[in-house]
Amino acid sequence: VRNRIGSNAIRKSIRIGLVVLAAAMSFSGLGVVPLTKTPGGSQDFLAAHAEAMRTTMEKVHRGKVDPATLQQIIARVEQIHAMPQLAAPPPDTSNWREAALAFSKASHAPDGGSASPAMAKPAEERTYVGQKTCEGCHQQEAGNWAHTIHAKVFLLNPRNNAEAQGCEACHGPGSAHVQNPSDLTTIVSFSSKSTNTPEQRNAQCLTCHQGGQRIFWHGSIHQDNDLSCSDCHNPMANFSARGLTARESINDTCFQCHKTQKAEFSKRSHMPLLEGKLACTDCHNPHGSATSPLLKADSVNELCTTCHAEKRGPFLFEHAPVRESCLNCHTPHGSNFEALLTTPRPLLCQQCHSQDGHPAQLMTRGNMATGPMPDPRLIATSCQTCHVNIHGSNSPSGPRFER
Amino acid sequence: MMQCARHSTKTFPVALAVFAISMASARGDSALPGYGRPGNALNPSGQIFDLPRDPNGLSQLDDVTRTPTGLLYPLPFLFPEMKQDPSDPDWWNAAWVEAGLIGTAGTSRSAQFSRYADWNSGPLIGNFGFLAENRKTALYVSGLAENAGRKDQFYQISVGRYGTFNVMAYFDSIPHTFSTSARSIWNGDSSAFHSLRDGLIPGQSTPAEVSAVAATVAPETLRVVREKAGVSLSYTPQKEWEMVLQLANEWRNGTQPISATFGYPFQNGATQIVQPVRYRTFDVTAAVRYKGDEMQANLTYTGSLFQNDIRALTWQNPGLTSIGGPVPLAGRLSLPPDNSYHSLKADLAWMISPRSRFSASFSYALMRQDDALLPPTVANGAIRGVSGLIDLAQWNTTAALSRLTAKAAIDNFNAFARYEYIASPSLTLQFELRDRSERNGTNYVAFNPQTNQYGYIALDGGLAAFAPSLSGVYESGAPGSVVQIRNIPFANDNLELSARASYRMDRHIKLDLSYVHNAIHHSAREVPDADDNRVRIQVSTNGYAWGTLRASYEFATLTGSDYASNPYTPYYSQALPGYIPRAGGDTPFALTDLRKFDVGNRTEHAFRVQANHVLSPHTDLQLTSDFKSDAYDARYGLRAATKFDLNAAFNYQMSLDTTMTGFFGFQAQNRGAASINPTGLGGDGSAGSADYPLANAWEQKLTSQDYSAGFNARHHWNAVTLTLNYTFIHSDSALSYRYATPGAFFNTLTPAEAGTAFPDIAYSAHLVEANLLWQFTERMSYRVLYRFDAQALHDFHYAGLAPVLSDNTYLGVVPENYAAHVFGAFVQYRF
Repeated sequence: VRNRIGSNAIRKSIRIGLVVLAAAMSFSGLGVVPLTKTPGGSQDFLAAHAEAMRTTMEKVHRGKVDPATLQQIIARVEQIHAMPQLAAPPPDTSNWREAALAFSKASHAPDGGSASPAMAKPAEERTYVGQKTCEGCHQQEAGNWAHTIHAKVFLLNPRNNAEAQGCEACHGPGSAHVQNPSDLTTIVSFSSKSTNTPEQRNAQCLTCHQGGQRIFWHGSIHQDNDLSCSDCHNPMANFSARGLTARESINDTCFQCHKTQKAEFSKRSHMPLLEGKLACTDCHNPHGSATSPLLKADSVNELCTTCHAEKRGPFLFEHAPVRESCLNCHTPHGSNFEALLTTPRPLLCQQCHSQDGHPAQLMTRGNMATGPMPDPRLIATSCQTCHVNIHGSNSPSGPRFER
Repeated sequence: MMQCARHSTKTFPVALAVFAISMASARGDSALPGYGRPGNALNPSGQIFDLPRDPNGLSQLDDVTRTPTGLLYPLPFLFPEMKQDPSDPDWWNAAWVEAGLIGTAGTSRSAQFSRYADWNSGPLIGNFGFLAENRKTALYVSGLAENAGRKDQFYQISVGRYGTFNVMAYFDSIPHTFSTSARSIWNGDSSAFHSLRDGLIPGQSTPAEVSAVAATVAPETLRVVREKAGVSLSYTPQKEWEMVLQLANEWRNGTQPISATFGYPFQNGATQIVQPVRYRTFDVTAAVRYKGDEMQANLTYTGSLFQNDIRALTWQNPGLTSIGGPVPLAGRLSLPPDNSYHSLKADLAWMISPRSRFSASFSYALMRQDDALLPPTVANGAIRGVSGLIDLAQWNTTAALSRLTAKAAIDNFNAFARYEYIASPSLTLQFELRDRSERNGTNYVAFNPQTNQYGYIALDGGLAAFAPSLSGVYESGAPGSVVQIRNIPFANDNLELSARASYRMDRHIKLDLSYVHNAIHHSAREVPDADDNRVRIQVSTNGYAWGTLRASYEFATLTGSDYASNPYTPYYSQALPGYIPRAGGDTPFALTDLRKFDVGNRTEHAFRVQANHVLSPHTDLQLTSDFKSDAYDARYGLRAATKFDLNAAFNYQMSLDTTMTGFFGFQAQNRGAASINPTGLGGDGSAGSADYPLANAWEQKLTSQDYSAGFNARHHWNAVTLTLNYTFIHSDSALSYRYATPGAFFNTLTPAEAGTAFPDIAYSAHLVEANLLWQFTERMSYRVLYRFDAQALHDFHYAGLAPVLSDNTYLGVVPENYAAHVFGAFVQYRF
């Protein structure tokens, strides 16, 4: 038996240390780098580069799209000049966005700190070209994007200069890309063609979306697995009713990778997830949490009793494995046994209970309702026919959970 | 400015409703608990309705677009246009409705068919909604209704300003149907007192009388409906700050089956009764979030108040008994008590430098329950004790309690800290600490101040008639009077430390190695202290043109301090001064060689592989496989458990008009357990003793196999789109057993009668769904739905279940297999 005194002392020391550290950090600076504006816009750039863009577009897309589409693309480049200038000026390229990218650059650039491929050219050498320029070639993308919450926020109520850039708010300044569209290192992209690392892609998203519900993204299992935000989200179109997920629903998005869980939700007993009434994110935070299975609560039981509050207790008489974890008896995603049990009763209970009397008696098919000796310990809800308050009893006569 | 997009006026609109009703809502917050969202069985994804796909896809430059992992993105929806308000050109609006009729045929009354859905035939407003937005001020208001008036209905209304605030109110309803064939022999199923129906006399009924009354009762539907109404507010005054407030009230009303007994098996019977459910839960979550560039912090309060309007259920006992003699005339069951939960949590993330990051979380949670306690029994008269009669009049009021309320309390403290350091461009180190401490402050002593006796009344006196020593009352003069006299304050503490090294071999390959040590302390358990050690190695790839591969292996051992098979003596009468053991020793509490799997030693191996392969520019193939093996260091109890699964998925985007997906899954599970049927003779709990003779030993093995498969196909012709879905699952669980001699079941059956296995628990389900969508005009479309849903479940627990079996009564709640057809015809209109 271990020395609990020593263990408790260690715990206490760690707790005090963490609290002190947190307090120190909370005073260490919550300041925000103020945004600054720089003059300029896309119109001058477009006028100067229109011919070059037409030539480049033709070169890039010839043979890859049908002739009609190619002509459409080239034609749009010419129309760009007539488009109105964006309302907001381009932001200072040394603003907060660059600071937020620093962590990612430091961690994943091949040379240990130099810019990423997409940032191969120093930021100050790249300029914003404006959304209209982007739409010249990417009109379909822009049309789909126009449906999204990003489009609404960026274009109707931008909270900062970066958001007001539209496409370039996420993809970065586009001047280098316009000059050399076939070189994807000149732009931040988010699909499988991207030359960026997952961290670089995610850093773009996190410039606006860090903290809050994503405060534990760094170090989470999804981040460890090199997932990009765009593996689960597609901000370029509304595939789903919520969350800009990459599939039609949150559940379908999770099932992209979690095939076993999808199969389990089809089993005999399951929660109403495939019936549209629950989502994976009702229990899990895919953006990271303080628990390793990405739970939205601090423990399995606190999570389960969010919806099953009647089983939360505390009760006068508690059942040890229930207090420890609901998962001792239940599997959360689906089961071939009733009530999401891991094992059919009475074997479920007999795995632990061997007391004198009746718990450890072998039940056989002879004890079925159709057998010569029907036994309530086997039939219907089996052990819970008598030990009904198995999650805990508040009856003074409930030590064995029968009342 | 939006008009510059290709479909801007055509596509802008209703899509915006979609995110207006969801994206900006605090309830969609992935970090805060709670359910309640659009969606139902007819529309699981919660889409506004079955919209056509955009024939131009995601891009004119690329035929298909893939996620970074390499999976194909689907085709986007084609949204109808939004209208400009002629009276105020800044306002744009859209509205839509899908309404029609559904009809069912076949065995559609089945409880399983409508377990979580409302498929009743009749008119259906499947979807109705609107959005109005001001493109000058970014203000919006939106509303949505799904399956209006049905048990799976959903409503939501939102008001807000894009990017700044959202106020949203919603109402969600989820049915849970247990049975449509219950036949209760009691009156008053929805009340706290169930009296026997006419023709039955409490304590004196016969099996024939019970069967006769049950035969006259009309089948009853047992269903609980969850209805939840909530309001949420999210406000982002500036980029760095966010405030969230969520309030929700959930009502759970209805009936569900429950059981309770009056005796030991084959003495006084067990009864299956109807529990009235009147639950209410009020939830509140309030959060303030700071999102600085280098530091982020959250402060979150979560509260949950549960209330049950019926906290005790009294029911009359029909009185079926196999042993004769007096039986209790009624019993009283405690139902879930009111309880409360409060949690305060602080999260922090800090980018200390470009190479290091720290994050932490602290929370403290209180769980309280202080309901008024019930008297130990509802019965009257006297029951037998070892030393004489026990007068229940001294036990059927709250004067028989040591205190009047539960005063149950549990506190939890959680601490989490993570430090990440980039040692070099290719090497990242991470250290984590998790500490969870639980304090169980419940302290109840079962002591009757009226009689100066410890204990309680077991089963309202039902046990005493058969075995006076099991009355529940501690009789100090009687040897071997073992009774639990106080609650056991179970609690668990964990202190977990982990280290991980992540090495990026090149741009594509990353190698992870991690070690986790978890020191566990269980209060009042067989193993007070245990160490869980885990080592994990993982390789993951990214950015290859052929796809992605992730593979990991994990090895874990759980080893604990010495196993004590009975750590519970302090909570039983054996701890009282003057306790007299039985001659020859008290009956052992448990088989000393059995190891409870949740605290016993364990060795675990786990492999996981996931591969995404780009078969062709238009085709994906995914393969995933998991294997997990747990070996428990136990001769008796759960010995081993293994689980294996293999999944394959196929996605073919033949063209913008034609897509197909398919999947196949296989799962296998094995569990093996063993025990010994005790004789009650002697005081030695070891295997092979007189109490646990090896002749009474048995073992059971569970083998499960699950197969699932399905496909989806969509094809678009001009204005018509046909979508087909098929899903199939078959599960088969075989539970077999072996035994040394028929002593494993007290020779109550012959070996031939006992057999060697139960009939398999087999479940099969087929779901076929066909949707035909005809885009009649830009604003109007027609949808025709056909759905075939079939399920067959064979579970030996329910085979041959009758209203009366021996001295037990049942409601007749059994699996209700079905094969049902659903037909639907709908009109969709965009205003």
